[in-house]
Amino acid sequence: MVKALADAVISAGNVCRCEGDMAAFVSVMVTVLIGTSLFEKTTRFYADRIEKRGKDNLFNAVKKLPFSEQEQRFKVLRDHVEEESANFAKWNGPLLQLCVILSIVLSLAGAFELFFCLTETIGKWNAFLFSPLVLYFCGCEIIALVVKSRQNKQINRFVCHASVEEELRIKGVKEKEIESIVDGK
Amino acid sequence: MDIILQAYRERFVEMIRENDPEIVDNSSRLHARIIIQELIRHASETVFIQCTNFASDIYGDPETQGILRDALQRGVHVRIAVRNSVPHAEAFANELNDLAHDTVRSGENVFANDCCVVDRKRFRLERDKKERTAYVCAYNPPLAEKLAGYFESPVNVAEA
Repeated sequence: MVKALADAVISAGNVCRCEGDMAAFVSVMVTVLIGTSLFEKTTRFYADRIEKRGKDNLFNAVKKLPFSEQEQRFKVLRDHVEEESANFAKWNGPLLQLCVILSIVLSLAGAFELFFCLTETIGKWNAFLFSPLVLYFCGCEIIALVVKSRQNKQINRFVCHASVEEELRIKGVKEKEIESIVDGK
Repeated sequence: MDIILQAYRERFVEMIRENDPEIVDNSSRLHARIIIQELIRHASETVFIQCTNFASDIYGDPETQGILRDALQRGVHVRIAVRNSVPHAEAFANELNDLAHDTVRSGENVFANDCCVVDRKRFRLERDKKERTAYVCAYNPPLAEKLAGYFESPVNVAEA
């Protein structure tokens, strides 16, 4: 399938070269339009996935806290979640814009790669490996990993912080006290 | 904020499923609502509630209402004693009474503190009326049995 895709890229490039300037121009425009749309959708998909992953991480971190801690530390937790959401907004907005601009540049590059038939000069497999599409997906995966790693660091710090406080928390609700309430004493 | 409350809800459900005997504090209304909802949702036989005014923030909440309707429909015996003569969530109180006669009884004081006892083994018991703090336990049959006893005492049953 990979080989077939590489062949398709090469043959498309050959068509551009053979059919003259107009065909090449149309080919470039179509590739740019499809490429930009595809990249933008993929970028949004990645942004959503990163955010969902972040929320899941946070959810699991909160669940790890002792039950009674969750209510006592509700304000702290809420502030932390709000801070995390603000961080997402801060990072994801520009990240998304950057990816969209990058995707336009890359799809343009992809179109010109077809136009100039670079595949012929650098070889089938090299052309595929260094094609903008592959670079883009790799880039998105790297961004996702970096964001995840950064968030995990924050979550670990938050959970550790909580466990220190856990040591300080007042433990032991006495059954006798409840008994006295139940008995009306 | 939803994430935190959802995590809290899931942890409490785990406590119910595992019959966790740990006694925990509760003071926030947001958390109290979750506790009451999950206690009733997991009831299989009885739900006894003593409250002051059948508060709208808990019993006017659509989720709580759905949970109570479900409980009645699956045959759980629900009894809610409201100290005030007019419940705050009055329309819903009337609806419950239409579904099952005498489910909500206004002007009734079965027990001095607000409480919710489920299946004679779980409870939420208010300990300080001013501070509105409470103890919650997902599994303590001896104490829950005692609390349920107030609702089942001949005096209170006869009043019905």
